[in-house]
Amino acid sequence: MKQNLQKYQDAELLSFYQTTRQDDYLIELYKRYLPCVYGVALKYLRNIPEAQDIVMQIWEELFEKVQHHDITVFKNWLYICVRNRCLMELRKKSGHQFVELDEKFMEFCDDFHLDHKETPETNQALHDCLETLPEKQQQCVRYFYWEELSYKEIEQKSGFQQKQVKSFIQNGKRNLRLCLEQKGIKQHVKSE
Amino acid sequence: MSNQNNIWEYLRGQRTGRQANRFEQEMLSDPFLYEAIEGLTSLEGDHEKIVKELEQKLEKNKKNKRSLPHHWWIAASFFILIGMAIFLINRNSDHPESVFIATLNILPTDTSEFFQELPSRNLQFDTLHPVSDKNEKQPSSTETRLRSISDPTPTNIQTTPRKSIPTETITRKDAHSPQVHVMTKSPGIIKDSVPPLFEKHNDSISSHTFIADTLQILPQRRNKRRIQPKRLNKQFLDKKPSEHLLWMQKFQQYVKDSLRYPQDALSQQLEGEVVLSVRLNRKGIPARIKLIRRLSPSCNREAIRLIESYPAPWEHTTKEILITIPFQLPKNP
Repeated sequence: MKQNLQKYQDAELLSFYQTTRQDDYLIELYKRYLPCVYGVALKYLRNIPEAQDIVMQIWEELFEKVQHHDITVFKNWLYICVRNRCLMELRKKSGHQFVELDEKFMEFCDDFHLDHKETPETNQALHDCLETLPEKQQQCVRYFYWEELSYKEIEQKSGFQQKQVKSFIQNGKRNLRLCLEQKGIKQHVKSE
Repeated sequence: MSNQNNIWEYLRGQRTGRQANRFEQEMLSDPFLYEAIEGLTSLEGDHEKIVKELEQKLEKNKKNKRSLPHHWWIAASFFILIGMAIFLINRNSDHPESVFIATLNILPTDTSEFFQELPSRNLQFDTLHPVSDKNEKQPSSTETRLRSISDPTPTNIQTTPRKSIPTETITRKDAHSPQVHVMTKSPGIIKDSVPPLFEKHNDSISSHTFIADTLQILPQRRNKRRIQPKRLNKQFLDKKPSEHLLWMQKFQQYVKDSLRYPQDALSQQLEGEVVLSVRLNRKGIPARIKLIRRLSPSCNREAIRLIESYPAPWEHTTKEILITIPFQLPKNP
């Protein structure tokens, strides 16, 4: 039965669990995102044992929450649960410490995707906007989206550190979006 | 969303070139994956092994989670206790003597079949009393009055004298009627105690229905030992409701004769009642007197004096007796 469950989508597994209440479906669903849950907990708590505890605590709470919440996309809902749980844990440790919102997180709020294989007009606009970017941002965006190099390869090629590469790519992406919006070109929305 | 293998391959550095770029592009569009990779790359450790251990823990937890949550067990035990309490209350509130009315349908013409059938029903009888009037005289043991439902005219029939019956007989006296119903549990008696009634009046019983009033069926025991007669509530049987009233009447008469109205209550024209509860000890003497309703200190003292100096024996009871002593001003002629 375990091998057969892998072929099902998240929504199917969730509905199977909600109707049958069999743990196997929820376990399979949670195992798919277990590395992500653990990784997010690691990022916020900076402690491996605490991150492990958070993973198991979220698992314990999952049974009840899944029944009472109206979940459309399980991955997104789980991500919010994990973040909230980690933030709660951080507040417990140091009551008045606030975790600032990561600016990079704002990059994920839009559905902007660079796809240079669009119509000639949009392609031209994209190239024009790319020319307006600062040099470092332009370089990294070209390497990443046009030459399809990985962070490591860009790091080796450009001499920038990996964090800088990430930062340049994301900032360059944001500036491109703004430039295209000014030119009246709508965002490229990728459907999943 | 990349599966686990993609994540571990990327972290191990097994993905290069375009494969790595695709994964990184996916990361940029998925905040969950992006933050997870950031967390996994921020601290050193064998994270893949840790995640596998966590997966094994999940499997173990699944097996342990078969039982219901804790609070369900508490709720279930609570409801079971309530059900048991209700059952016990209803059982105790019933008549102490369990009344069971069995309707025996005597259809076959051959009465021997009827008697053979009885042991299977855990029933035996040597006398059958019909439902009769309360004013009727209780029949003797050598005489049986039998009356069928269809034929209301009673018939006096002589029965054969009863043979010596073992002592395990169950006697039950109905509190409301003077009938006595005797039932024995001795297999050998059936044929001997068959009254000639049934032989003489076959026609009258062959197609009629008799009601065996208040037959008490005892539960069968595994080991076939003598069935002990059920202990009956003798107190309930012996005590008549009028005894208490008689005693109260006597006590009230004593109070009426012995009451000394306090002077201060007379001068204040004070009237009323003093209510006390009296608990007797084993000797039947008041051991505890408690004032329930008070009037005035002198009246209260007088009420207590009356109770303490009551000369006659108190009512035999283990419960508290509630006594009301009235203080009424004498009417001037």
